[in-house]
Amino acid sequence: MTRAGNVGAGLTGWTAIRRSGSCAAALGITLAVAAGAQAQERSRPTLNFYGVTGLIDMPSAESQPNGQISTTISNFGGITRTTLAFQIAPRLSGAFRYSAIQDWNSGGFATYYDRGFDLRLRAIDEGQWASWVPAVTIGLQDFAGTGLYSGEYIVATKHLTDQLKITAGLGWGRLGSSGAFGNTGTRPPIDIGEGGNPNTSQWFRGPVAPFGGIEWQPTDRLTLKAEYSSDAYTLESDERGVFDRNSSFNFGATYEVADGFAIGAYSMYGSELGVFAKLSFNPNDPPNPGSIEPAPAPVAVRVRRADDPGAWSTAWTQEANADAIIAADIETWLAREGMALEAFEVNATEATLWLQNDRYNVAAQAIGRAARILTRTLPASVEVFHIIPVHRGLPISRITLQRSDVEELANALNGGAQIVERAVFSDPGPRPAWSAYADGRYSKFHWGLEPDLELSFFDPEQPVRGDLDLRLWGRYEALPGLVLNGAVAGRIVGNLDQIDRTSNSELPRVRSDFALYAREGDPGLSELTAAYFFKPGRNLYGRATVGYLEPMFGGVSTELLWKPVESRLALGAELNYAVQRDYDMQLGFQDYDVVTGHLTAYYGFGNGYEAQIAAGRYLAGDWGTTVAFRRTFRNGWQLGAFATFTDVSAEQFGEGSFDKGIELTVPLSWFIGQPSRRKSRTVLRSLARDGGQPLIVADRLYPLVRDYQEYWIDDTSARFWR
Amino acid sequence: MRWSLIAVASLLGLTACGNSQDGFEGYDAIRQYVRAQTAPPPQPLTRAMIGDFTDPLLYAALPSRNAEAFLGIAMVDGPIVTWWTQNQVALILRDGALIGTRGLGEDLMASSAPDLRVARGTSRRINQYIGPDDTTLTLAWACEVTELGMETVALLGQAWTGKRVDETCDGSAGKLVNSYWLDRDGSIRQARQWVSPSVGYITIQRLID
Repeated sequence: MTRAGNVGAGLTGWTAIRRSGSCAAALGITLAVAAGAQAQERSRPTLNFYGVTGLIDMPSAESQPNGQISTTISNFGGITRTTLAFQIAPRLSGAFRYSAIQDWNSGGFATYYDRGFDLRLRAIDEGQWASWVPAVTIGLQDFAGTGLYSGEYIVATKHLTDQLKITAGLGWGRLGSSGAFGNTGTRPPIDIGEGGNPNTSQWFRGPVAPFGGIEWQPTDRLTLKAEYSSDAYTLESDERGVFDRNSSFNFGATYEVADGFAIGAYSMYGSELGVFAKLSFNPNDPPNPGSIEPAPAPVAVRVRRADDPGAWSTAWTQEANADAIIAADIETWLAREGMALEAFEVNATEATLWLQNDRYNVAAQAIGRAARILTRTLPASVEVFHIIPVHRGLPISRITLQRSDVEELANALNGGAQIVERAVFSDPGPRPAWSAYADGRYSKFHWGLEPDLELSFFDPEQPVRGDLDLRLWGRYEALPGLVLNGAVAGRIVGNLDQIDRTSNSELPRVRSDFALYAREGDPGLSELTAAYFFKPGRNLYGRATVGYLEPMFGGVSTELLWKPVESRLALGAELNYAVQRDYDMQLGFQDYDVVTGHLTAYYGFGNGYEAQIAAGRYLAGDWGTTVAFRRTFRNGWQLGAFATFTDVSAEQFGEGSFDKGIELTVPLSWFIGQPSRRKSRTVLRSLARDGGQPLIVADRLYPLVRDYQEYWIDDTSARFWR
Repeated sequence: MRWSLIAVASLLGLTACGNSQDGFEGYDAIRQYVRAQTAPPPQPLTRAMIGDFTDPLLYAALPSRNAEAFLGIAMVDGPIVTWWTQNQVALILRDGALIGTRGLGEDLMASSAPDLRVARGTSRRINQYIGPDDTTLTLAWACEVTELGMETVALLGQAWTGKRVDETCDGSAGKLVNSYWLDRDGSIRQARQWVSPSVGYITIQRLID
């Protein structure tokens, strides 16, 4: 039935297009094209010393390209600011900043460290209603916490020519401290407490001062800037003597050395030399365009029934072992494309394939390849394909395709969008009967040895600490849904064990003793669990995990998720009993135990934007709520922020008042330009304290289930035919 | 892939070795890269290599990658033929005109390429790609298909004369000129067609029918 034959294989030994060697050449061309495209109408939006879009020390109204991630480091007069900024949406951006001020010599700090968050919203686009309309942005700078840099602004930017733009704004707080011309009420002093809370009562209150400047981009790479600053630097200049502020004018230049990498030098406040470096990139701008994995097996189109009625006969169903023979054929084809047949059922007109995808990070691509393989392996009478992706033995969704649609759309314009439009998504039902499973699918052992980077941030004695561990893991899939997991890790190099500060926490020390684990648990057992995944009913998914769940806790974790395949809303319930492990990370436990769990609602807004709100009890026995927002790019990059508010008072919680942080997931596929399910997730917590800490468990259900369901496959349909 | 990216990926713990897919890939990508950097340049393809091969055979050259290959038929669906190389890079042709590539990086996913046996005068071309944000990217051109008379070209070293037809296009993504050399029956014997910004032009010759 497959007219393909083995011609391709017959060419063995001949010179073929070398794929892997071509990346560098491809990249060179991309850069050239990108550089050409940048000789464009408008000058680029540059970043300021706070790491947000702006002039030198002042903000401007422009935005970075949607999705842009920027890291900047700037230094002048003994002040160093390191900022991670993210263009969350076309109009909305956020930034997280870590600042160090030398020669502070106050409050017990020689060098003062401060963390802060910014949010900016571009309210008006340049030229929105008329060509003279400037872009207007409203911003909150360092809006929470100790608020050392707190200030608010409304700023406008307008291009005079494509290369020349002017910016003018009004600032409050720090940005209203020099040259104020009026007041909008009185600005109450910050109630710092333990820091970390939004200082809403201050926003847009108190003295208001103008600031502004010009930017000129004479060449593609060079930007010259001059500004008038409304920041008096009262604290640094007058009180602490960190530097002398002799002037309100700053000027200098930024040079884009390579795409995404810029350096700058500036004259700051008439007394200091300021330097600046920026590294930025966009998940939507991968290093290599497209991907270089081998072509999928082409769709085999059936002969028309009228031309060969015999080929459409259903007599094959009477043959002994017909389904086993077909299943073996499918299995062979799937294996070539990095997938596996979990189970298979077929009758005269319909086939169901339970599919294990080990390679494709975009589910639509895995489904597309499986559908093509079914056209090559199934008798002509089978018109309906049900494909059920399975992960950890758990059926996730049922995608039903008409074979005629697959034949029609494989090479059609908008073929991906059309096939997903015609596909029917439904609940996958329970696990198939044991007889449907592929022989030898279970009792399989997987293992791996990999480096693992563990970082600790914002320790006042050393802002970044880290360990590079070597991690040996194993996974045994005993039966459908039953998975045994284990991992041990040992340090290759690092300094996490050198933290000699002991926890001063008033709460049960569920996380703040992490230095003790790093010191005594090397090497340590980081995980040893048995997990069972099951489908208790329609739209329901379940998990039960028992064992050494994570480095600091062991116990039992159970979870139930309600998620209709076509729904953007999911609801989850989790109940755990956790016992704290010994610092040596062997098999022993300490005498702290807790019942913890949450009710969680998840909602997908589309285009990868998701919100999650959880309420329940945390490890220290505190009750509260976690709010999280996340943006997932179609290629697997994820950036999110979360905050947890519990009944622990700010005083009890300690520095930072409540738990909050940023999470970043980086997919391997983006770097190598071919599919891979491997990714690395990093959580940046502003401080590891004990309040609002959830239990860590592998394979929580929502991320597992979401990737294979309707709206995400719909969003990524462009890859269906790749 | 550049060395700096390998370093970043390694630091992020994205590489590993082991017996399963999810453990092995990062390491595998690095090995592939190193091997490609150190491999000797491939031998140029010649007619002698075809020998007494009689199955349908296509020759393709990709100047932007400094690569060339023979392709065999993977699948025939009426006028649409999928050809692939030994290492599964595929070219999808409809009546000899390129409507898709797979495995070249910035692949052509679908195209409204003209039917050269009948199309002359003005036409419209639509090409689709997977854009950098993983959504479908559609590029459109207004084209003029004109006959340029007989021309002699070398089909892998062998002189051959056919009618040249050019498809000259102008669109938001820039200008492109696709050239086709037609056999007496109007079918395409040789073509030079634009694939995508980073892949550039590909030359295809039908060596064995």
